[in-house]
Amino acid sequence: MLNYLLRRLLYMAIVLFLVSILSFYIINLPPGSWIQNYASELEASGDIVDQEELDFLNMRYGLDLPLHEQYFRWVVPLITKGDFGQSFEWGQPVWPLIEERLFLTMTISIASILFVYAVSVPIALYSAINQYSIGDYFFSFMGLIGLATPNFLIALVFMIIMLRVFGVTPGGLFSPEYLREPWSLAKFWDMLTHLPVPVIVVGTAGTASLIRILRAQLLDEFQKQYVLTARSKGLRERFLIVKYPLRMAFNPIVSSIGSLLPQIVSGSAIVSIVLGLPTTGPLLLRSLIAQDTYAAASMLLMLSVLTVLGVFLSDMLLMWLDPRIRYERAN
Amino acid sequence: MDDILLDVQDLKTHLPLEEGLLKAVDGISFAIRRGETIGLVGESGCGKSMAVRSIMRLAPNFAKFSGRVIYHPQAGDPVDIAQLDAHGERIREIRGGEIAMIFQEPMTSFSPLHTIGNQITEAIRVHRAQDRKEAHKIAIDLLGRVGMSNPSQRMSEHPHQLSGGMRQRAMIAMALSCEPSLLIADEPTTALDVTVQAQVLQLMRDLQVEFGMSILYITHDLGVIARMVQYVAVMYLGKIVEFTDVDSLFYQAKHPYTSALIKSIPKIGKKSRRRLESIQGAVPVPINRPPGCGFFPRCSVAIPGLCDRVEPPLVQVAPDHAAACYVYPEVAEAANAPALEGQGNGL
Repeated sequence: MLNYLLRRLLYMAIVLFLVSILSFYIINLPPGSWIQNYASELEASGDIVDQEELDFLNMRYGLDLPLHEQYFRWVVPLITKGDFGQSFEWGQPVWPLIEERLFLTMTISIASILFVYAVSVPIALYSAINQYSIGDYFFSFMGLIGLATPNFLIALVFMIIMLRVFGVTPGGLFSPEYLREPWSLAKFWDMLTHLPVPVIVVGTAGTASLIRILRAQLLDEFQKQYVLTARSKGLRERFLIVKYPLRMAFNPIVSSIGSLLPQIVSGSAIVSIVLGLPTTGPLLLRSLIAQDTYAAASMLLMLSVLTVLGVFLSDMLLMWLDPRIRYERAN
Repeated sequence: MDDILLDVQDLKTHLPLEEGLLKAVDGISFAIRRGETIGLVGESGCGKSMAVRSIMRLAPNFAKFSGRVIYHPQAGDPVDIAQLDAHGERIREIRGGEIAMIFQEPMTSFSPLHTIGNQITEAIRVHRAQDRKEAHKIAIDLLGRVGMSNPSQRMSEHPHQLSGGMRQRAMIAMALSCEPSLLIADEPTTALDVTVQAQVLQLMRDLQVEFGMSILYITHDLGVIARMVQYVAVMYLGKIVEFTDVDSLFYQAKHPYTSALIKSIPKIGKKSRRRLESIQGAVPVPINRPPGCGFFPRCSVAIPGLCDRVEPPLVQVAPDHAAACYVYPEVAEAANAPALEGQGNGL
């Protein structure tokens, strides 16, 4: 068991190493560099381009070095000192720039996952138990609409509803007065009150697809012999459905938690732009366009870390839930 | 006949499917006395499993269900199980508590996610002992009685850690955990290899004596029937076509289907060069079945114009021996339906 855990941790480190190389390489694939972008921007706005300044920047950020050397200039301090380097675009260290955004992205993602589960599990249970009932058809219909509607459209609809019906501007995660404040209980509470709209918007598609998956899974499990065994023991129907088929149906869902995370993170980028949320999505997009290599690579790496951790956690959860998997892994 | 335990009268379970009406169980009647073992034999798909599920009210929700299933408890008034609410309190008391069931596939009958102990004590706690520790003790005792080594350790094991035979033993322990008066065994040894099968059969016979229960044994294996039961009901296409004691079944089978079944048993010592006899044709699809005897298309003694018109009723043709075949004048007499008139001397 310990052996297995150590092996998993080693694999995770290898995956992250490869991800860091790959993302660094891909970010630098487009022609030109941040300096060139910067120079042409200055030119376009009619400013005089100071070649000396450009050379200085080039030297300072090592942008004239070969790519692998640039990579090591980034990754060595990262491993040894936990230093993510400087953002060219913002002229400040990367970590403080992304720290809060990463936290907010995680908050929205985790809240969305909880929302997805809290909504879809009861609906899927209802739909499976009352298969082909009016309620089942209603939820299927709503689910397919939710699945088919792009998230940003749902975001816009929500914004209009919030504005017209409740008279609040739903953009952002904080009220204006807390925007520049340091973290406090009041600010945290303020964030919680702003959370529902983005969570619902980000979670809708996931909810719809999870209802479909879980419903099919449950219908499948209801046919299984062990359900009949449980009934023949004289157990209460409600009790046995929760204890046996629901628990079984959860396996594939738990194993997908890990992959749900990157889906939500990438899916929420557009939503974040529409709703003006301070998550990593918009910042990542901007760094990629500006070829702000260190910022973009650091964010991609951190999101990969979270994803790999998510997969690891869901695997652990699966082993805890399913003795067969535990048995298999232990040997 | 006052020691009757279960009296099934004209039980019908019809399944309205998209392809048509499937008469899975089409009017079967039989009775089980206390301490007696009855066998229900038939090919796959003849409705035997659906029949016993209907007795337990475990048929699918959409099934149309009629008839009477009178259960006579040890104490108290007889209950018509057919009239009970399929999800109600009383039927749940009967399930597991008074009528227990063992299934064909010991591999899939247990939930793979819960321990054997959890699944056995669950039944005990529903019907017998609320106390967790006491239920645990009863379960360990039972596992020992069904011949499992190291019962207290088995309690915390999961089904995949046990062999097929061990799982079926655990299944039997679970079924017997609440000392039922009737044990329904739905092909419990089909999935096991022969030596394990013999052990499990012997175990069930020993436990039957010990617990004094009745057994309704469902199988397609006539060898198991010969070992296990006193009376046999032969089912074909949702109907009982012959009912008799086990000796008469093997030596004086009345229904052509039963005779054909018995002829198809391989016998040791028989010349091996001869081909094993089989019943010609296949079981017809029981959806939208034409009128008449279900066995008509495959029967060697069928009477055209009679057998394919009116269904033969199950009638006593000898002492303690009933058959549903027009070869016997009693059956034709009992049928005596208007459709028979004008047939002349059909027999």
